[in-house]
Amino acid sequence: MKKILVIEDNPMVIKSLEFKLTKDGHEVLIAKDGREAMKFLKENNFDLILTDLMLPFVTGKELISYIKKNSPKTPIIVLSTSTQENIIMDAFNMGVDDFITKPFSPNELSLRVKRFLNKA
Amino acid sequence: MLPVLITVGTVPTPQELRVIAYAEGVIKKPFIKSTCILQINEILERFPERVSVQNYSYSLNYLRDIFEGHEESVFESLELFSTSVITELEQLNIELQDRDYSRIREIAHSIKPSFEMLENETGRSICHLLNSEAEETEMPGLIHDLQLEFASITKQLTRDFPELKIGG
Repeated sequence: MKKILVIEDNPMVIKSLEFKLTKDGHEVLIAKDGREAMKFLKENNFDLILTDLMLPFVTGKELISYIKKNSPKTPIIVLSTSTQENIIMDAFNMGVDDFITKPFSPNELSLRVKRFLNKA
Repeated sequence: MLPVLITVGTVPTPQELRVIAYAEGVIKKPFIKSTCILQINEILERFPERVSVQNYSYSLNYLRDIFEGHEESVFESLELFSTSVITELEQLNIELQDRDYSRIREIAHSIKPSFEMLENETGRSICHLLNSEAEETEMPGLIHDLQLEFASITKQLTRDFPELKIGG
């Protein structure tokens, strides 16, 4: 079972991601803000990280920087909205692997997640 | 949308004839209030499905798709919508009083997917504006409009799901 960390603060998005990823057979941990995410990242190893970029307490950029420094092989998929082109470009420059626009298409999420987990 | 042609006189102009082909009804000027209301009601009664669909401020299509028809999860998501968005809207008012416009943009970014998941275009658009394009002077009006839209959605939800817990 692959372990996925979801870093997201919208409860409806969290619920839908948790439902879909669990249904696909993955273990899912949820961090609702950047501080909680940092705690999980220090205590666990993950096969994949799905993260929003605009988070309370610790920014998405800080999180990506931390993950790239401490766990460089863990793939990161950014959960974005359609208004964040510049922010997404910055994230790609920092080394994120992919992005998914919220609200996501269920099949697209499954396929993209599967693609990265198969590489791991 | 039900297109209705408003025209003057009894003989349609060539342009009006072309439009009539696509219109669902014709109302002639000058208006007589009682006749005009009757005509509008008759047109609306001819298209009950289209009218009722348009009056809905939300749709469950996306939620049913993502939760693969699992109605309990759809219902829980509706509760999450009503309880979480109202809290964020209250916070928007506080941030507006404090003139913390960057926090307002963050909150709009956070709740935008909630409106999108209910396929509510008005809420989505207002959140988009608040998050990215709106001037600070436009924010009070937009926040007010967003609160009205939220109230409209929750009113509809309460009618459709009386057992739903609304509010924080």
